[in-house]
Amino acid sequence: MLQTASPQADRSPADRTLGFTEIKKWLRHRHPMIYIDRVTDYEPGVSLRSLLSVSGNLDAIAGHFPERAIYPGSHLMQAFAQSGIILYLMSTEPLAEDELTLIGSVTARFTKPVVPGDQVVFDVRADRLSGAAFFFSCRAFVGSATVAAFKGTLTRTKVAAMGRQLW
Amino acid sequence: MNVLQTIKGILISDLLVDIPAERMEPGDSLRDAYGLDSLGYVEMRVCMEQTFGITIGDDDFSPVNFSTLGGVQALVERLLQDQETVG
Repeated sequence: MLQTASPQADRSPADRTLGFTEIKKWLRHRHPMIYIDRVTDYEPGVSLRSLLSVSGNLDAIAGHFPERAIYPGSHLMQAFAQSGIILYLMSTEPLAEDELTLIGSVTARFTKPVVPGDQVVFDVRADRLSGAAFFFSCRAFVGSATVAAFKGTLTRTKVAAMGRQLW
Repeated sequence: MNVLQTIKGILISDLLVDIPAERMEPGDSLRDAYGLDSLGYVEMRVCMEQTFGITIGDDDFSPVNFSTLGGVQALVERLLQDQETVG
């Protein structure tokens, strides 16, 4: 079962946010693979809202593309996945040392280019938890405009259960 | 609705199984022939529910029903039949 938090009304806005350093407590990712800058609201078992700010100073923008700066859709997808991982772990329990999360599938639709100066907000929903499988979806906005929509699945597993890997 | 053909379509389009529909057989193992892992089984369960408008309970989400293509087909057809009977 999804673990739901106490009613939102019982928590102050400060209790429903995570700064960049706090985000790293929930993710195994590290620079340059952390794509979200802040979690601005969350309710375990229900939803999470995160954001990323796009700067022309990002390495990705330097090469994507030199003639026309567009933030890569694949990076938006990674931000969606990381937001989902945090919501999943908040809704169940944090990863143990010998565990990791695995993305099973992502369906994405991109509706508007994201460019330097944009702040992308990800509204992530916990759709279903079945065993260790987590189904989640998201709509991403810049201002009031939808820039992308996603659906995905992820799970957690013991590292040992994956057998020998060449990492 | 042709249940078997619809399931084959889902396996190809949603679960990205790389086997042509005409070569899929009811006795095919979802794990050995199509490469589904534990997460894949759960995704298939949800796809079946959404596509056919059925609910697959935890008791039916079992190795008996989800080992082979034909097992899933039989389960879906039974649940659709149950719906018609109740309806």
